[in-house]
Amino acid sequence: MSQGDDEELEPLGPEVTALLGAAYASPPPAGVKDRGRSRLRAGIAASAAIVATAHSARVAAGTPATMVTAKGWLIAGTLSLGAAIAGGLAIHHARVWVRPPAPLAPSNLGHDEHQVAAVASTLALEQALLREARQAIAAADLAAANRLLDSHEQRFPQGALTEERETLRIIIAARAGNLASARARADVFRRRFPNSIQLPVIDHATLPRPGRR
Amino acid sequence: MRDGSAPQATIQRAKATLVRAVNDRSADASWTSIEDIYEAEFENLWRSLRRLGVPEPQLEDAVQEVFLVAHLRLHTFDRSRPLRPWLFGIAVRVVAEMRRRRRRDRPQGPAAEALVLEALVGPEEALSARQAQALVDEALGVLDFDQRTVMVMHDLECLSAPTIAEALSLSVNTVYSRLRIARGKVTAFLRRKRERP
Repeated sequence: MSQGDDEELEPLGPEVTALLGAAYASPPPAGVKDRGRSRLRAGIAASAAIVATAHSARVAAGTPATMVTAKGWLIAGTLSLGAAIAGGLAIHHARVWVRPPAPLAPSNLGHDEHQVAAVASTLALEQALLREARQAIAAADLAAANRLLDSHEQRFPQGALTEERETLRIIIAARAGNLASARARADVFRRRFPNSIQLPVIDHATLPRPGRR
Repeated sequence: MRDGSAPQATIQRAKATLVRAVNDRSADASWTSIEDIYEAEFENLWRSLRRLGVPEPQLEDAVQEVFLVAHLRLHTFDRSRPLRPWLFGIAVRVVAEMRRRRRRDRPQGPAAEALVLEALVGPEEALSARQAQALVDEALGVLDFDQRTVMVMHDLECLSAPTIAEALSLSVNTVYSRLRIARGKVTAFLRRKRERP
């Protein structure tokens, strides 16, 4: 493939070649490599933690999940880390973190394991969102819960936890006193997921309650 | 006079082609983690980033950034491919991003031209590495970043045009055309320097 690719080019003169060869010969200053190794470890640890935290932080801040640079390169906002410490790195990376999620423990995994890890971390993100939504419902903050579910729907329209998300929507509608809406949603849900394990929960949520019609 | 031996330029060209072939194909899959890659590639990457024009004070951060991005993207890397061009491709994007930020943060001053070239009085082989470096820095400084990247990859990193094209998501023709322009500019610059030091 590379054989003869030079044939298309005028060769560089020997003087230029010699000059290019002589340049950039000095090694990095002593200590830089060791320092860099420690920083890299801190950065890796930080980036692993981010999978679990950045997402909910962003949701809480209402930031859309679209802060990706061209071609999915995760470099925006991570430079100028002159005095980077683990925490600092975490923040920088959190700001740019988008799909695809980082592998859970990328260093020692083979290719297939990476795929598994990627799926697992996607699921972890889904779970984290719905967990927060449940907590919001428990705290009677239905608007916040709905926002979290919107966010889940936006990011994972066909996610593994779609049924759970729709179930929470029905519960929220019912708790908000909008039983008609809850029942309409429940009807859609039953048609869409006739064998869902969530059906008993939905049935219960849409039962008429005292003082509520 | 023809004595049957190959001219120096031909030998040099054959040698470069051979080195490129080896660099292209050396898929060293002995690493198992980003830390292995760091141990093996740190010095080389440091040098590559200097060649791409990263100023000395920012080298450490740039190296760090490349390895972090490599870590995040490692699961997308095809292990049957050589590592170095892939890493270099990341380096190019990191440097491009740094340049964008630098331009945004403060206007780019003129190159520190005065530093250079007092020393370029004797024959080339008498140049110290430092002087050669300053001269090459200056010569590469006349290129725009895209041209510089291609010339560094081809003529300093000794990668072939197809490998460069793959690493940078360019067509091979684009690589060649940038390389031609870059070489022309650098050669002309050095010629001017020699004539009017």
